[in-house]
Amino acid sequence: MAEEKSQASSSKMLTLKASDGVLFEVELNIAKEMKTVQAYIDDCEDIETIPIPNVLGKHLAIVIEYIKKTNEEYDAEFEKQWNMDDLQLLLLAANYLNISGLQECLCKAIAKRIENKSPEYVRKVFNIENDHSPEEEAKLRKEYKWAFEGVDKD
Amino acid sequence: MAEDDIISTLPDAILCHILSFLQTKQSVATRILSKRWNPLWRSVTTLRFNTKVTNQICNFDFNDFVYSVLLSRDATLPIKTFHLDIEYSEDVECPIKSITKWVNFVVQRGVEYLCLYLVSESRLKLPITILNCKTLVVLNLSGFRVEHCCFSSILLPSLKTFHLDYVEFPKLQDFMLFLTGCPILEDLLTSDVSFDSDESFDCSKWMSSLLTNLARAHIDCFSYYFPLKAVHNVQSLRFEFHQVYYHDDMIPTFHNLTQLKLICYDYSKDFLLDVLNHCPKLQSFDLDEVVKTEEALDKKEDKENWVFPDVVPQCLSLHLRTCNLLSFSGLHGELMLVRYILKNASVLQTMKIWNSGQPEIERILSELRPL
Repeated sequence: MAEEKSQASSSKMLTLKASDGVLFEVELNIAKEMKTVQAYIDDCEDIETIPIPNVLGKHLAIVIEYIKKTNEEYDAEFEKQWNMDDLQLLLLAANYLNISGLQECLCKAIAKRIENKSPEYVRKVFNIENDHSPEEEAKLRKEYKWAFEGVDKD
Repeated sequence: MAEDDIISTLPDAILCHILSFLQTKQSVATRILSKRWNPLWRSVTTLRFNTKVTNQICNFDFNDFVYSVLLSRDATLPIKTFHLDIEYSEDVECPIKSITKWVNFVVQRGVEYLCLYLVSESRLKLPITILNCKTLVVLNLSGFRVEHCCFSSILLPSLKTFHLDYVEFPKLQDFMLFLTGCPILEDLLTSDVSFDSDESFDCSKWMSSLLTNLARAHIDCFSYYFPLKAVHNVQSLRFEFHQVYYHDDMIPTFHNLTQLKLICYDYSKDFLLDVLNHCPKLQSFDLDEVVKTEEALDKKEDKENWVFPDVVPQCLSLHLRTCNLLSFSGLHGELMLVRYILKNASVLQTMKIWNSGQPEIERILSELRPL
């Protein structure tokens, strides 16, 4: 009896609605990889359409494709296709949807893109506003001076 | 094109995870990015230090940095990964005491991945606190000397991966003792592991319970003796070997071995048969001869050396499915080997022969095919 039930549930389809209204029909077992969605299903068993308010259709499509295809080879090539902005938005999505494999893959990819770069470059690439005063910054640089020696020129 | 600072909206744990892939040098430097980023490096549980120390000032600054990092980070968090990769120039003194203190410090803080790669004029003595580290899962060492006094109680109950490169043990017995302290080891790599003393050592009392979980071993002993019996439980073996070290008693029975990659400096028929006879369950066999001296080439052309027996090793009759012969030159001995395998390997599915594309060899191989 339990077997029949699980067979039925694995072929059940679910609809995910992205923030810009784009709809995605996915199998239940794919949707369950997103722990946030899983929690939603656990709370409301009969739900058919789940809203994903924080993620654009474009990124949700990429996330769903990742879940379907993920393996060592795919992961290695995955990150090369996206620019830094997309990587960050995908990481936001992966964090919201709580997908640990994708989070890991994206953290590694982002780290790779800023490896050996100067703090100035990193600020620029992430649009981080420097809210330290010049005196504060000078003090921070002095405290661990070895960390600031010999960095790549951009 | 987003102009917002998206990344800083992510939780601390994710930002720290990004930082964990960077060298600690860069991770610490992110303090200055903004006030949000200032404290994050302290919570990163992975520490990576990679540098080349070329003079005494460098040495002092780098040491100072490592100490500062170890002391300033969040003391409530463990250190899960410690990766030290340092090259000391000839005239620079390797700070043995400091390095030992750093290792002791991280061992006490629950380190799981410990990688220590040191290049200096003399090898460092291995800090003994490593030998009883309950949390250690991966240990990679290069450029160390393991001292005799350490061997009273080695226990690494969580160690799954052990890679040794350019490491010295006083005696073979000491190395075996080390391995008996790694009950759940799955992955062993040794390259240039040497023993001061040549005294022969009876391994038989250790044998059955040694490294029972070993899945993969990569043993590089082109220049040194290695006790092959230590890895007799392994499932997949890559073995780099110089024929000069071969003797009758050397090869144990590999009861679990299904995959073997043999990289030789010269090989004889007797050696190969000895190997195949001791791998009863072998399914995949790769053979590569990387260096061919004049002498080795002559031996392969000597027809008397290459008459194979009628009795066939069990693995050929029952299990061998894949065979790859690399660096093939079409010598008599090699052809006889190919013929012997093709004739007797009853369940063989794939045989691949790799040469440098000489047409003469292709002709010779095509003559073998009707077998």
